[in-house]
Amino acid sequence: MKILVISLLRLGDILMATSVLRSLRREYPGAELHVLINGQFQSVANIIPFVNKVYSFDRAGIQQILGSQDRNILEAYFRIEDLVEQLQTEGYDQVVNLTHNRLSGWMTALIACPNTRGVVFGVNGKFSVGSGWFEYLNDFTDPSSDNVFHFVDVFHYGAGLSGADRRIELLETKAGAAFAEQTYTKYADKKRILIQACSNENKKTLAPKKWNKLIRVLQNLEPGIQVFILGAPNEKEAVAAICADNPRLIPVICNLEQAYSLIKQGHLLITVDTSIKHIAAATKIKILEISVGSSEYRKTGAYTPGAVILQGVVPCAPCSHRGGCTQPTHECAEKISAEMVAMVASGMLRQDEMALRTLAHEYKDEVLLLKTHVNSRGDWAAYPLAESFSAKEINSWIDRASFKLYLQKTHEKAVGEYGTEGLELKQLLENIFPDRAKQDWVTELKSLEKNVTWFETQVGEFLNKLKSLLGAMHEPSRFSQYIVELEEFCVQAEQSNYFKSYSRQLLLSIKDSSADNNQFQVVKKLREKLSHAHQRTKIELKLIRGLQTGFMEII
Amino acid sequence: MSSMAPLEFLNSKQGWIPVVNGTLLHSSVNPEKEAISFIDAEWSKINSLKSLIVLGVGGGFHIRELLKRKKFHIVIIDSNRELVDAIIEKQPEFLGSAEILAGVPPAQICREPSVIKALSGSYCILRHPASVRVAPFYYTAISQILNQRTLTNLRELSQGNIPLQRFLESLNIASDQILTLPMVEEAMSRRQSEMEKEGLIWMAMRELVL
Repeated sequence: MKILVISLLRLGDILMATSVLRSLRREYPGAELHVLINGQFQSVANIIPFVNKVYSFDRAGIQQILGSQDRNILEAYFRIEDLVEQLQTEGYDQVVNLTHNRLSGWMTALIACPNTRGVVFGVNGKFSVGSGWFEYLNDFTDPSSDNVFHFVDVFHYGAGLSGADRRIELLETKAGAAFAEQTYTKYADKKRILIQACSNENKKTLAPKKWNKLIRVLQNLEPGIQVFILGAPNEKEAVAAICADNPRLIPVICNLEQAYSLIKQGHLLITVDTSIKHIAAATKIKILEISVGSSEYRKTGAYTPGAVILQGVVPCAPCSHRGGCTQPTHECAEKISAEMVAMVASGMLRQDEMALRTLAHEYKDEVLLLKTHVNSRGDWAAYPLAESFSAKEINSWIDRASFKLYLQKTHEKAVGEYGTEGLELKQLLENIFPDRAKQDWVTELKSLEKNVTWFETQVGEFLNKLKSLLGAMHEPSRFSQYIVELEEFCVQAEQSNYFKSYSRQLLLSIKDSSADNNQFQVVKKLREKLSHAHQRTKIELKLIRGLQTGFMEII
Repeated sequence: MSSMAPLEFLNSKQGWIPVVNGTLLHSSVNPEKEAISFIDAEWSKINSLKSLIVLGVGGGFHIRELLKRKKFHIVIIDSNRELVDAIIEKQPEFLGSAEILAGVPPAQICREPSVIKALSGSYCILRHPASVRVAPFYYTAISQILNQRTLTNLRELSQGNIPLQRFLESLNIASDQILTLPMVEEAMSRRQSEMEKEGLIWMAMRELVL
């Protein structure tokens, strides 16, 4: 059996894809695993495990040809054709496309494998994705939504894989290990703190002065440490600038394999860079992730339990990858003070959970302090350490869990997984609100149940009315009346704390419906959205009742 | 064309170095090292390709370096027939390892079977800087022909790739039009037929410039 995994985005995406590679290796031990990655990241091939062959797509080279008037367009054409021919010759039994973009969809179509997962275009130019999880990437892009899943989980479920072990795993090279040994020779007795202060985007890092201050405060708080400032060869100047005024710092310019070995033997990593964070997630080092600019921790946070994430509390975070910071000042980075980062790092080194929670509360207005969690089913979450206990907050986690079950099509299965999911959810909620009395839980859950029951009933009624409307399409006034009522309901739901995500989706469909002249299409779309909301609220109710039972048993 | 340019050879420790019109075509100190640096600089661009069209044979140092690294299909185009004859006489092994076109008029270049073969799969045009400096007008004309994006020219260049040629014909675009990716996309949607492999490749190219 031969399987190709396509990862045609950035380095971080390739590193996250190693989780899928390890699951594929486990599920198909004898299979030949190949990957297709962008040529500029070819060097990562040295540290990717489980793979028999790496193909590279010369994206930069082809783009250069296409953009240059003195190169022939056929040069680009033949380069793609050459690669496609090689891939077709392999005769893959399965292609898993983990790149959610159109280019990868055309490339997957060109490989012409009958069994694909992820975006693929058909000969009619229409695309399909093969899994509700990849559809989710397409449909649910609302940044204000709570229902955001980590890419590793989306890739895992989207690829149709089972198993809970979704760790990122990398290979250590001899050269990398030797480099780390040489770098650390003099500092064997010290706690080794690694700092990756540079990132490929300026808006994803802190100001150099802040780094200097942060390091000095940390050195004062933790005298037994040695700080190493990591950087890629193209970050040499920035690393030197950070080290300039502090003779106790060690600058380390390294490649990926060297970085992996260094991190593997380190005690704490403070990073703004996504790729370095994913490399660290493959080791046991403690990770402190500073999430600024376009860094979206909910999708790409450190995929390991116990990592700490800091994000400035600003409405624009996270911003888009495209372009620079749109604010007059780099607000999300400015909110994160040097002292706070140093104190959090110190708390992590001392494994002082209480200190972290105290800091989370103290800096609540400026910084969101989160801790990562991976449950026994392998699902990742980052939960805030200073959240106020309320039905609204509880609901946001129930909502997310229900969405996962919905994407897993649990409601279509004879035997549901509500119990197991409910137990995981209970544990997560208890981590978020550790000191709440069980009676408080029951009270909030009861209030939530009441609200969700109301919503579920209303949506059910709107679904039934829609069904009866199908037989009365010749009466446009009835349909218009229905739309008015539905809109009123959505506005009411929007005002509640619990159903914003549903009402937003429904309102969007209503808005689209005014532009669509095909009434059957409009009804179809509305029915889809209402059914989705109905199924989801049914799942939520099961989870809420399960949680109530769980907490009541304890009482 | 510069086929009448005075030609001399300078003997170096590493072999004969042609001097055309008083211009040395390689370093007289270390031509091999110079060739290695030249190919090193281009390597990431060319290492995965099938064919190379090299503009300028020079003293052949860069060709030898290429052949040392990979068995490319190499087509050498040179303006100076006299130089090519002299190089073949001094290094007859070139005849077996590369195809050489000497002094072919630019307008004829696309009809040469070796060029058609090179343009039927992945390729790159490598310009030997000193050779191009000696006969800039000839090589500019050759480059223009090889890089022209009119449909007529693309059809001519793709003679070695029948499915691609058929695809280009199916687009129903005027022959003198300079082909752009949006134009191909639009022409494909006009056809209203299922997309073949060639069409899918053009769509992938389209994504790369969006």
